[in-house]
Amino acid sequence: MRVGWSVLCRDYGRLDDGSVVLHKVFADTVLSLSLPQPGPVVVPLNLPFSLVSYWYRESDAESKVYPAVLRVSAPGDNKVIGEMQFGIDLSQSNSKFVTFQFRRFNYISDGLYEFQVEVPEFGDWKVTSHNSLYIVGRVS
Amino acid sequence: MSENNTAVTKTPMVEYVVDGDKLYPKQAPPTREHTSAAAKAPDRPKDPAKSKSRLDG
Repeated sequence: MRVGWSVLCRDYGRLDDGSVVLHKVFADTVLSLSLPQPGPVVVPLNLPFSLVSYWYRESDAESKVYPAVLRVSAPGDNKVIGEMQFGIDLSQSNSKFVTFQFRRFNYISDGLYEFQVEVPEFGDWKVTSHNSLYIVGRVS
Repeated sequence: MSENNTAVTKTPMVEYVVDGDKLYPKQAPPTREHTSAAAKAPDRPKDPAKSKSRLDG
């Protein structure tokens, strides 16, 4: 099982013809958050953002449900601020889109936040997709 | 010039919502069940070095 691609973007959609529409893909983007107080704080996002990923299997032998972990790390010393388990089900299809819409964000401090998906491989957990986003917060 | 596309097979899409450090399916409301186990995946082995720096909440 492999990841075809993964992107952070503002929003996404799905068309009847199977296409995926990505709105405002983040590249060199600085995301500004309005904070009720200095961090660390969990901030409701007026405009959510999303992590969209495409996974596929390389053979029928990979037809199964893969356990996976989405890990979000804060800037600086890479404190893990979110470690969430989910599954990538490739038992019934050759490929799958998995999306995460962030509606409330665990803001720690300004800097580069890392978004990683890990899946088991040969008995160990391996980082399979890796995205990052620079986030700054301003107390309003 | 026009373009008409037709899906041969449509790749399924699974959508999750991230609420702080909680995960739940986008179609379902956030319940205790969903937030405690977004999927029935086995526990990930803890890396002691990384676990030290984990923040809850």
